[in-house]
Amino acid sequence: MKPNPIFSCWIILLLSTGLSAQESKREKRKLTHVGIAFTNSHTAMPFGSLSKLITGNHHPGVEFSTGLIWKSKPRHNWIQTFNAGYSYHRWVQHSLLLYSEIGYRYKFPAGFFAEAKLGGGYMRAIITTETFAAGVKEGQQYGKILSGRSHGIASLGFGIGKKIKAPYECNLFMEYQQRVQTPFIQSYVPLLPYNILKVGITLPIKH
Amino acid sequence: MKKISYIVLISLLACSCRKAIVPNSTNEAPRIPWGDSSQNHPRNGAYTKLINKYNKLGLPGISLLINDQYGTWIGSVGKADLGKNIDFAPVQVSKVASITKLMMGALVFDMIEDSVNTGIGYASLHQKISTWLPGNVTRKIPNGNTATFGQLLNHESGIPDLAEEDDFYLAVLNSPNKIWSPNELLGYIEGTAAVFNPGDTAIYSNTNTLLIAMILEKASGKNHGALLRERIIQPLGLDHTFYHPHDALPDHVAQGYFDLYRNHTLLNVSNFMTGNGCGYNGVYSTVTDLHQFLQALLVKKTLLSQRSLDLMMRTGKSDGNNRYGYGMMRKFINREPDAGWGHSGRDLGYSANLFYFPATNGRPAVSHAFLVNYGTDADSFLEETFTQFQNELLDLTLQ
Repeated sequence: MKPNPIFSCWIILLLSTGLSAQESKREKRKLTHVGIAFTNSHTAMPFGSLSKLITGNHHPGVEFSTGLIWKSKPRHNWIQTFNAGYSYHRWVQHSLLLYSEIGYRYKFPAGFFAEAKLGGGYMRAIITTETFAAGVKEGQQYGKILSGRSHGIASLGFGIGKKIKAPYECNLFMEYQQRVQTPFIQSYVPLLPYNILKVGITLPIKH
Repeated sequence: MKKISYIVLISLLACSCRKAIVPNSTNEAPRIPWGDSSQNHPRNGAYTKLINKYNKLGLPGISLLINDQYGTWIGSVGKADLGKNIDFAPVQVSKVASITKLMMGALVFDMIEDSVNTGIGYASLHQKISTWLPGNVTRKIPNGNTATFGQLLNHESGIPDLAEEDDFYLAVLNSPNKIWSPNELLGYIEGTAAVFNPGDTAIYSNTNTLLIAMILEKASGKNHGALLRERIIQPLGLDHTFYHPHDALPDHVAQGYFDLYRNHTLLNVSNFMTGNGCGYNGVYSTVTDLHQFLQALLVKKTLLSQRSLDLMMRTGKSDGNNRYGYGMMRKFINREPDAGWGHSGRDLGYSANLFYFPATNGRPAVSHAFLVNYGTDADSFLEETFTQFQNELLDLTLQ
């Protein structure tokens, strides 16, 4: 049996979520924050579109996140995030995203931090261009359909941020994420790479 | 939070409000510009049956014009806009894709014949492209300092095809309706290797015609789109021919479709622009205008001098089943002596052919022009159907 990339991503996501829940039970680990980020995504070769993400086309999106800390040390944390999002790419697709990331955060003085994260998950793409299929409308050769497709996604993100204490405690962050959607076109374009810029804020959850 | 929702809504609306380059088609296609006698053509039944057959097999819309010993037959079938249920008219404006290159070839020789005013002559064919293009451009291009103007015209330059670059397609997907500048497009072959040394062989490359457009502009000091209109489109009375984006498109252009996701669905890809208006693509026309152009170029020979035509039809090395003259394609060479002179056009959502088959061995001369609003240059479930349509058309018209 061929490994299904979507299935594999789901397994990674579920395993990591399950493990974190188990671990949370054992060590009373709790979700640390909720966040929102606004995104702009470009289809481009990995690391090929950083400046254009600011100056070029806008394919807007929004992502909601939460997460937990696996291991906390004075200078660094091992972290996991859980993200759900939406993005819109004109003429191509609406995307609904569900993914998780495991990452390393290094803490600098004065509340600054830098992090790197690896992730995987699921994307539901709804085609935005008019789509037609044969034999779906009486009297017409082709009928209009709403076409949705399932994909796996994998991501690698690098971010920086700063912890703010007043007037409200929060983290402001910016992340440059490389993401692949797979398969884009079955056996033809197996991977579609994206460059994504995320700017957002996370608020601590008080327990 | 209200503010945040507002910002999200505004940015989504801003993106969705950008205008489509090819809006949904209207039912206002031009009429056949002559007294149509297709019904009386002895092969009317066979030609009608042919296009109906391939529409039923999946090609969404077809217009076909055949000029043979019995006269001119014109017909169409299917839909120009599947969503709006608009018929594909006989005189349907649709994208001709690389037939643009044939028009550019004719433009080059029209300018060569007017060398006093245009800055290029017959000798220019043997001059290096660096004669016109500055060092900062030629340095970017593999073979940029060795290829000649003539080698651009007959695809013997060895300059890589920008349309073969993955980066380019990612960028098209990223900005489907972007109007590209020549320099942006050249960026996609910067740093790549030459395909072969100039003159060694012939391999089709869109970049060649992009560079031709740049050279014509440098030599004449005029926009090449304006030159094409002024020297080819207007004098020939091609009233339904538009070189986008130099010319605005009418609102009755056929939509273009492709099975992009290879799942037997047709996507409307009309607004995916692969370099319109940069020499190698961007002309939208009708089979009647294409026919008129071909008649003037190759049949009545009113557009160019015999010397220019001889050069356009002097083919070099073969590239599969094609050979190239200066700006002209000789296609179907596997069918010699029934190979055709003209050009084919293949874009993401459109296909077109414009060919003249001179009389041979007792067979009278034949020309045909067709437009199909489905992309057949890449692998899809209708690729073989289209090939069969093309072959059956050749078999039928070259009997």
